[in-house]
Amino acid sequence: MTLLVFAHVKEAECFIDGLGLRPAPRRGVPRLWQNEEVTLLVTGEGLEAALLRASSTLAATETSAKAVINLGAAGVLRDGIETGRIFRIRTVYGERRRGLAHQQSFTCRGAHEVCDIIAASERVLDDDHAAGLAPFAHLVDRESWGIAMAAASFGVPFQAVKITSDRAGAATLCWSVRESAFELSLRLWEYYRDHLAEAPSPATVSPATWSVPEGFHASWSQMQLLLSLGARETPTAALEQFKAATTSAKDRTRRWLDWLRRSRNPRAAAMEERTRQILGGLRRHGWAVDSDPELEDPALTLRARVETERDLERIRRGLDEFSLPEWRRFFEGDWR
Amino acid sequence: MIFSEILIEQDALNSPRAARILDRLPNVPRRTIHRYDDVFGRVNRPYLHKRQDLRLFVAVKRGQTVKPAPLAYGLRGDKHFYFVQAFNCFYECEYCYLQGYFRSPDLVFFVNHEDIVEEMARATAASAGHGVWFHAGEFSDSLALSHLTEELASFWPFFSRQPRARLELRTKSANIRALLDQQPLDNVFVSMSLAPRDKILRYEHKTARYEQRLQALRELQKRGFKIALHFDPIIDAPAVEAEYGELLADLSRSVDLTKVSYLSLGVVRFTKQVYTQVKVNYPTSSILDGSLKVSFDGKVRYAKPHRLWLLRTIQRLAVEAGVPAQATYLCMEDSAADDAGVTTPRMPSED
Repeated sequence: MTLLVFAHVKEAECFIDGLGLRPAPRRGVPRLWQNEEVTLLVTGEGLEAALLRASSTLAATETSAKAVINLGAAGVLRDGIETGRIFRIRTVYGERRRGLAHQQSFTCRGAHEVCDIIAASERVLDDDHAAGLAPFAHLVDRESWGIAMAAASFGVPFQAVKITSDRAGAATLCWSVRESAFELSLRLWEYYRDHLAEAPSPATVSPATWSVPEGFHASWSQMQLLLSLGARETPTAALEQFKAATTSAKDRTRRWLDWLRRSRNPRAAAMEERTRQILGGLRRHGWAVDSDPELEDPALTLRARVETERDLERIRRGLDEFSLPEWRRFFEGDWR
Repeated sequence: MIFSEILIEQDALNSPRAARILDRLPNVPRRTIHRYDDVFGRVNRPYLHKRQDLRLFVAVKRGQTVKPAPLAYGLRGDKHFYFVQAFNCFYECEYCYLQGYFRSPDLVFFVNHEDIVEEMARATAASAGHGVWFHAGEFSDSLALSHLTEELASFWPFFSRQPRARLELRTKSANIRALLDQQPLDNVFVSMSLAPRDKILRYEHKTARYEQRLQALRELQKRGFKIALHFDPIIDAPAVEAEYGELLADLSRSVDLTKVSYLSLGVVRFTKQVYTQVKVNYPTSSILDGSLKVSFDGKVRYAKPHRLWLLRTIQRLAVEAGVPAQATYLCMEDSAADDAGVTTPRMPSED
């Protein structure tokens, strides 16, 4: 399901008609419309209303929302941007209160233009306020940041599409924007229909399917690991070797993972091997050896269980085989 | 032009230096703002926006402009400071720590160079009996835009009067125009960050190319400037020895390595925050393929045996190629160097 979010019902009119949406009000979210694929929400004006209503709607439709798209009118903050243009927004900023911006920003998914928007804490009716916002963004609205934050909180990809309606500041045309809302809605609807309605959102693109070859068995986490290590590029000859080495499907997968780790990262594999060589004598002779897993501290903790003279003799042999200077040299980088 | 907009601070409007910067960028739209820090860093502006619209702030730096450098930053036995003449860099190195530092990729040029020089003078006076180093390039490349910023001309008179004070200009740039307008000084070191050709192409976007950097070094040495080298960050690869061998061979054909003032070596390392940013900005970067680990202190780097092997190996190659052994040091690896008995020399041209 795609969630389309507007601030004002007049901006949404053409979408309600064009998509054949039916009213589906919920408690706390009275202005909601739906069909099988799209839910349309009108939040009302302002950042708090947008955050609250978008969050409520996403909470109610959590499992099915695959994309959130905020559409609507926006004021122009910078010179050289004409009204009536449609922008796919790049990054959304927010104003906490006049003169103070929210630190957090949200970058939209998918294709976008070099056009950012800031959601103002109040209507931008004077030039000083507009000038204070202009260094942050090209356009201004009142809701986008709240909607983007709600989408981010629910892990749903977010996009914003805005049509420039007027110049923010003293020259703002709030009232005539309301008059021309139908025309803005129509332009946005045509854009949505032509550019966004058919395109799957990034989240709905299913990842390429892949499964382990016959004769291997991998758990879900092993599958992720195999994929991240580039298992798909493993030569057939190598797979055949793992198969020949053991009859257990699980063991074959373990060998495969080990091989991938080593070939991807030969230096780490060589260090592992060297560690095994240096500490091997201790372990063979009954010592439990704990070393720093991060390989930053050369200190070792050795434990052994002794019951008989023979045990004692055995662990003595282990200590005789162990070379502390060699272990220290390993830590100093002298190990190849 | 690399900048989409210039935002100039009110307090910088009357600065002749700021005016000259604006004159040199006549076609860039400009906007006056009250203070740069009302805007810069106030919101999280994604790092990669610099590819599409990189902005320039022209401002006055308030507060401290000269700060003590971290331990193991430079050669031993001296006092080390870095100074803040600019924030950010228009280069785009995949490992750069600036991507997790300022919350904005935009550049800031500070035009009150006189205040920086005054602080340098105070730091030098307070460090009697020591050599004092001032490092440029902590938050920006020190040469890349030096033809715009004029900072070299601002700093040169101080260093020509103060032989005890030393200036290091760290760079990945071959823009030596402004530098060549100055007379070489024995206490000014141009330190070039270098990596094997393939690494520069792969990880150091928009920086001067390999050959350009070698050419710049050759030109500087020929004109009598002191040169130094940074092999930092070293990024491991299966053929890392061969790659650095080739780099050193090319270097020895370009410059007299026996006259390199110092060579610092360091391996790739990140704070957790920067590492997260690298994963966001360059998710397929092969830097992330390596055996980097979250270490005991939260930093992400190679394990100690791994990084000391890299450092020792490349240090050995450098010495074999002619860099004086006593002129090499390990950056940010002081304790490891102690453990390993790696040379950590006294500074060059010690008084």
